[in-house]
Amino acid sequence: MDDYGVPLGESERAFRDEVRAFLDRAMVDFADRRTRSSLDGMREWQRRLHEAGLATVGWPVEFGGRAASAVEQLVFATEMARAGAPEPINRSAINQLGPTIIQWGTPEQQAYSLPRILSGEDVWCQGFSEPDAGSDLASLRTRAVVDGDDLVVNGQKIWTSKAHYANRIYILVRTDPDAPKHDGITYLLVDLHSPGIDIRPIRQIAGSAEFSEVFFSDVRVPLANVVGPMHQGWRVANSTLGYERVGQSRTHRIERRLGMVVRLAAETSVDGVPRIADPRVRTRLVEFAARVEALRFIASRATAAGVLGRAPGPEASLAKLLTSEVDQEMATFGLDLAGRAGVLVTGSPGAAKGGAVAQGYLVMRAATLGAGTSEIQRNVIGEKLLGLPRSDG
Amino acid sequence: MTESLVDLAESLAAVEATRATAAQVLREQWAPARLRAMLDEETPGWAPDLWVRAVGLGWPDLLVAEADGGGGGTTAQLAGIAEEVGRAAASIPFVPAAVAAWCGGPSGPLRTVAFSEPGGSDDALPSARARAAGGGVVLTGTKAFVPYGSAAQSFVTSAVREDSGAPVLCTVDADADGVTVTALRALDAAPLADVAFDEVRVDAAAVLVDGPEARRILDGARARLAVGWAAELVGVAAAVHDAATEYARHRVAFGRPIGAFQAIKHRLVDLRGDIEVARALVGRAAQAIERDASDADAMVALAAFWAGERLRAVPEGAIQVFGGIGYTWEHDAHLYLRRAAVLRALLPPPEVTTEVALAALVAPR
Ligand SMILES: Cc1cc2nc3c(=O)[nH]c(=O)nc-3n(C[C@H](O)[C@H](O)[C@H](O)COP(=O)(O)OP(=O)(O)OC[C@H]3O[C@@H](n4cnc5c(N)ncnc54)[C@H](O)[C@@H]3O)c2cc1C
Repeated sequence: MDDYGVPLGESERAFRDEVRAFLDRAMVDFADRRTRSSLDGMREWQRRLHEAGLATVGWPVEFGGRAASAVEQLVFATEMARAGAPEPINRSAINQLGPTIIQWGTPEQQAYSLPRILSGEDVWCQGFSEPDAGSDLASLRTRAVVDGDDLVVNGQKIWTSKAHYANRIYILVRTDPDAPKHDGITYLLVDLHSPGIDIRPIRQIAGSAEFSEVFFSDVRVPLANVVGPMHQGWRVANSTLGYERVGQSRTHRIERRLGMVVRLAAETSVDGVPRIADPRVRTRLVEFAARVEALRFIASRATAAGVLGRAPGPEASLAKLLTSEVDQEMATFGLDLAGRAGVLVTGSPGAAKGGAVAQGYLVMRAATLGAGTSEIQRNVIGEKLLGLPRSDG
Repeated sequence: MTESLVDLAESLAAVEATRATAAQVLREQWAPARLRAMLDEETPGWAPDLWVRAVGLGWPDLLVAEADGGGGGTTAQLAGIAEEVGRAAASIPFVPAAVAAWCGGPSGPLRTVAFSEPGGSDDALPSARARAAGGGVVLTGTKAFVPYGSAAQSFVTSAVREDSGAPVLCTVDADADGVTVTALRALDAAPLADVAFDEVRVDAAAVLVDGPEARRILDGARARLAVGWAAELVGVAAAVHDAATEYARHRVAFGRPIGAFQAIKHRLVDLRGDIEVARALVGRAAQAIERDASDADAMVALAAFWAGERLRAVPEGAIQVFGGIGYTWEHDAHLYLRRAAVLRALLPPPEVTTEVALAALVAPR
């Protein structure tokens, strides 16, 4: 199947063939699902992508990318998803921090950090949220005070994904406590092995500890590590959050989950009657299919708009909200379809999909929390897209 | 840019140009207030003057090949104009006339499609019968809920041949012997009708397609009709949603604009999400039809399903946002509510679209 939703030109077809050839070679050692999702596997995958010049096809050439067109990026993401390729260990740094440093960083920061992101030598985590600053991120309180050529950082971050294996962290700190809350924030690159940093993993809903609390006490960070102007970190952070927009990978994820719920509906039955024969089930499946198909089309249209040099349509700003909600609803519906077997976990006899249904139900709670909760998304869309007044004033 | 991207850019530009023209014409020559006035009349109403203009612009012949004297337009352009018609709440037979022309060639006087039958889901073979007679056929059967049925001068209709059991499509004049048109009264004053054919003689020239090709044309016509109605419904929903959003920016309660209350803001965001999903599905279905893609039926079914199941709730929600003023005759909200309810009834029912979509979903890929 060659259908990417947009037509391919000659050079794009050549690029697709290159990606496919790479996948044929590289995927051989990643047949096992556990390898694909292990840290070592993800590290190794990034190394191979880097070797093949495919770690970041979207970045400009001078920073180690290939300045891939929007269509090429679509081809790349689609081929990776179709092959079931692992995630590179630094994916979020490639998608978010890298572009932020390209946009705001000094030449020294760019020269030092960008190659190390691509090679996987540095693994980054994001330290934005604090115990009292989540949705209302700008009320963050971690302090940083200038002392000579350094900033001295004190405070606490929380929910920091990947902190337990990353070696670098980018954080937001308050450098001017007297300024209005959006104006006194600075964006900072920090070595996670610096003296004074204490990382305490937090167990998550499904039992494993994949995010952490990160404590800073008198941590010295060179002033040269400030990204963008001092006190202007809010603007820099907004670039980072902007790059977090809906990616193709999410679209592929909901397509896969749709396939999973359809299969579950066909494979499970109550008193001998397949669940898929139930009209309520049929209606739900079609509702999901409609949303998934629409989101696929919206994503490819956004790509096409990019290719044609136009701004993506307003529907693109709704895509993250719609995608995460349909993803979560499908995971929940999967649990319903699996019936009793759905609540059985990995290791239990009779667990649906080897426990993946139960696991999926738990972890998909995050879909409507991370990267802006659904409520915050609705506020932002209401204000930016619909032009409605702010809710807090 | 590659060749194919130029094509894509051109097709997007063509749709936008069509839409922009349509929007302007409708703005100049139509106002929803006219629909309100029609609701007070004894008989169903529509806008023949606007239709004359639309005919002059070639709208009904949009889908007819250029070689046959039509506009050579795409299904995406059909959807573009239909959305604007819906947005304006204009009472013109654009969608059924354009589909009738797709079946039967360039139009003269108003011609509509008469496919659906009483109690039928529209998806099966017609139960109307055609008996061979001379070179033509003799037609007997009943068509129900025919859009613009009491205004049209002729119908493109479907029947099954008694000899072969294969479908046949033909054109029948409304004033031919044996044709009875019963006008219906609908929520939006539209000139819907039931049309009965009793031994109606159709000469050879009026038989449009016959044999195996007829099934393909009939299915293609229904697909375009469904996409057209869904697109019109998108326009209806978008217009009333815009109006409610604008109102929410300014209407003050408890000292702040009501749009600042999340119950209102989030409702409007969610309805907008439903509209964007519908619009995307219409675009996707139009594309699939144009490419004659194997998943075209499923895509049309998804678009019809979503538009039908979700978009009538947009005027419903908008009326909630308007409050008391939205319940008045003088406010436009009910015009959109009425039009949306009728469009939903014109779409294939969810029982049918669900099955078509599911068949594709569970089919091994
Ligand atoms: C799996 C996971 C991984 C994460 N990884 C990271 C990471 O790597 N780095 C990082 O910095 N952060 C991370 N986060 C944190 C995430 O960004 C925050 O959890 C999120 O921003 C919400 O903040 P909060 O948890 O403080 O909830 P709160 O802000 O306290 O929100 C609680 C509830 O109140 C609602 N609410 C808040 N304000 C409003 C409002 N104005 N209107 C309506 N409702 C409102 C919220 O929507 C939510 O339902 C992660 C979170 C999760 C779940």
